[in-house]
Amino acid sequence: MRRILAIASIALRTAVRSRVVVILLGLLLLAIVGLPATVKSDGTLAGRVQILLTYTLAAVSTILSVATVWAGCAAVATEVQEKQLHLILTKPVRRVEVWLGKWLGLLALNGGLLVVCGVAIYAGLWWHTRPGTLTAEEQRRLGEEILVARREVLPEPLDVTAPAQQILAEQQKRGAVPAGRPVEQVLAAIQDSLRQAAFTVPTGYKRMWTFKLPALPTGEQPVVLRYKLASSQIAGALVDGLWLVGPADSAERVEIRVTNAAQGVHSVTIPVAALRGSREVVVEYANINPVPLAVLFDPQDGLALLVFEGTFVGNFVRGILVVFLQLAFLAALAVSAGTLMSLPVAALVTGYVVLLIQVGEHVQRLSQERGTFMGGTQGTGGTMLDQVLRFVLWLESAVVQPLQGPSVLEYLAGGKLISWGWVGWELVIKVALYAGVLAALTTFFFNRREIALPTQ
Amino acid sequence: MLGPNGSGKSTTLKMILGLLHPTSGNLEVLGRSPRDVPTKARIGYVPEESYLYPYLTSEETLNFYATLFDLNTAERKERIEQLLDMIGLKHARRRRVSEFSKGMARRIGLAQALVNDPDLVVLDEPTSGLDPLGCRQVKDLIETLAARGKTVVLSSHLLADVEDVCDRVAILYNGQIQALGTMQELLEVNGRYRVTLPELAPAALQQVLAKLREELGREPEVDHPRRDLEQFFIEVVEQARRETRESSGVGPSQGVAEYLAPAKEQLLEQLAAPAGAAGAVTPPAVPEVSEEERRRAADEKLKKLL
Repeated sequence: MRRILAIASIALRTAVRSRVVVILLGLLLLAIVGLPATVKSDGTLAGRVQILLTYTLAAVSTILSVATVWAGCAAVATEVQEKQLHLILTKPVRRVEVWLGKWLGLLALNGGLLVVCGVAIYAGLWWHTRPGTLTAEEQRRLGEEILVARREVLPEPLDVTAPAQQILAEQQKRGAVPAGRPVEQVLAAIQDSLRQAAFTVPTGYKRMWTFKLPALPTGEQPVVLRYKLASSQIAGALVDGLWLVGPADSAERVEIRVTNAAQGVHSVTIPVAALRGSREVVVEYANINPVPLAVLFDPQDGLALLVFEGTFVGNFVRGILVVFLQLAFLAALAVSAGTLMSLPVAALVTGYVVLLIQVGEHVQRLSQERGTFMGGTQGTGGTMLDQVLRFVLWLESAVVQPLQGPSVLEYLAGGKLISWGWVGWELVIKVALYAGVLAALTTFFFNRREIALPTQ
Repeated sequence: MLGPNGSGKSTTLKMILGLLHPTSGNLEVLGRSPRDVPTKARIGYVPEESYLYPYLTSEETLNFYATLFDLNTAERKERIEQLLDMIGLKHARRRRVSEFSKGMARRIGLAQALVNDPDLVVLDEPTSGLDPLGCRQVKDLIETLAARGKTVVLSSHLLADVEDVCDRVAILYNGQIQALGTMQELLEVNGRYRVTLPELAPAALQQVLAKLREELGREPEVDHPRRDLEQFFIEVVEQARRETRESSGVGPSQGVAEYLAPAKEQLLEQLAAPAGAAGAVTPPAVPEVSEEERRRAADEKLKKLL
């Protein structure tokens, strides 16, 4: 361990002295101090706080990511080039210890900087919302909507398998299924349209959803129903609706009448008493518009119950921890690339892998589609090349998928809970599993690498 | 190891150190593969250039390399003190390596190779960049290490240095050993003798020359032996150093680090050996040896030789 820490300390000192890293750190300072002063919000207090959080944290994580990639790639690659590593590897040091030392050095750099940035951002946030600058109502709204940690509970998924099968059977009986189109595709399309229909409410109709809370809300903090609405009416028109919370047969059912803009995200507050001590919450929406129009909710995240879970400080700390663990994975990737390749190549390869992770969702969709790349008949599996390419895409998406996840910035700015489970997932998957596999693979190849070739 | 540029000296050393892999054949160092990590704890390496971290001070540099050998804090501190003393850079312990001259950096490079008290020391051009005083110290150190039973492998272009300190020499060309043997085997000129005499009275000298003339049938070559330039240079610098108290460069060496110095028995053996080509300028910091012990050891050695 002593050897690893010695190498880590050298990696940290080298990174701090790197010109590129120093420039990036200057930008970091500028982002924390300068951005909140220059960026204009939508004029609301919530908008100002959200912009402050989103912009500064986005700038910090982007700059730290770039600095991590550069310093990580340079950590070993530069030492091979300048031959300091020749000397180190003649000492009783395992090559995995070199990798670990460099990685830990970067972790220390990122950890220290994140603590400083986190404190600076929090101080900026406090300054903008300090007592005396806001009205009591503004303070309350801020505390309930943004500077809070609320768990997002989505409606229970609808089981559309049986109705979809039934519709398919009827279509087949009528001969309405197009010839040559695979049955699975038709069934998937029917299921999609059924799910969409479950979130569409025409005038004079009601729709019902069930939410299951992980635990009963405690304290006096209300539960908030957040909904993302769209309508068939022209933009700018208002939409009348009625929310009904509680079982249909209950006398204590809460009714909340709303008039909303036809596009946008809205919320209504549900008193804790309306839940009647039950973790299962039934919510109905009635379309009571005088003119015919359909109200549509996004099936993905158009409806959610937001339940108070904790304070903003705790959420903020967990958010910073998640960013730190994501940077730890990035550092592992960069150190691995720099261990096996020379500097410009290593940085480019790391950038390419990061890009692959970013577009992983699209790749996943491509791999699931049964289309062809080389012009073969759709749905038949295509040519051999199609199958190989599809396998490559599937493999890529399978490897990359666990690395994807929701945006910490979006969660913090939206007052959504960043749970310890999320932190644990990042730790186990990105650091223990992925960084561990990278360390093992890199060490395997590094052990076989001749470090003192005349060309190096 | 001697050889012109590109003959394979550094490549061989790097294979011994596990930094390069042989394309064919098998290589063992201290009975193990050169890539065996525990074996590396017994090796010290001085590369042809000082591949050090420029922003570390000399003390931090030695501390870093000592840590890689897992030495505890107290031991590290003690060895670093002795090594800084030995290389004459105790006064520059807080100066960064980037501020050092090439020679000073070489000394740090040499010290880092000895921090683990190695059994095998690999030196690639060890005297490159050093002034004659530094060269002499390195050669003394090599002799001291050899006296402790350590193996020292070095490659050099400086033939005089090699001749001074090496027991065996390999001359490489194009990756092949062209000549291999002890100095005596390789350099002895058969059929010729050299006689060195103390100063003789002119009449006695004429008698000796007449006798030799008669035996040889021609005039013998007679001249005065010269001090070598290195010896002369060292004497001049030592004199200047005694007269000047301060210097930003290399300070006077306090002798070989105590933990590297030979045991008393080894030293006696060394002292009893016939005088070499050049006398040691800097006596190693070793246990006191009385004049009587020295004479007795020399007598015993002489008896053995006779």
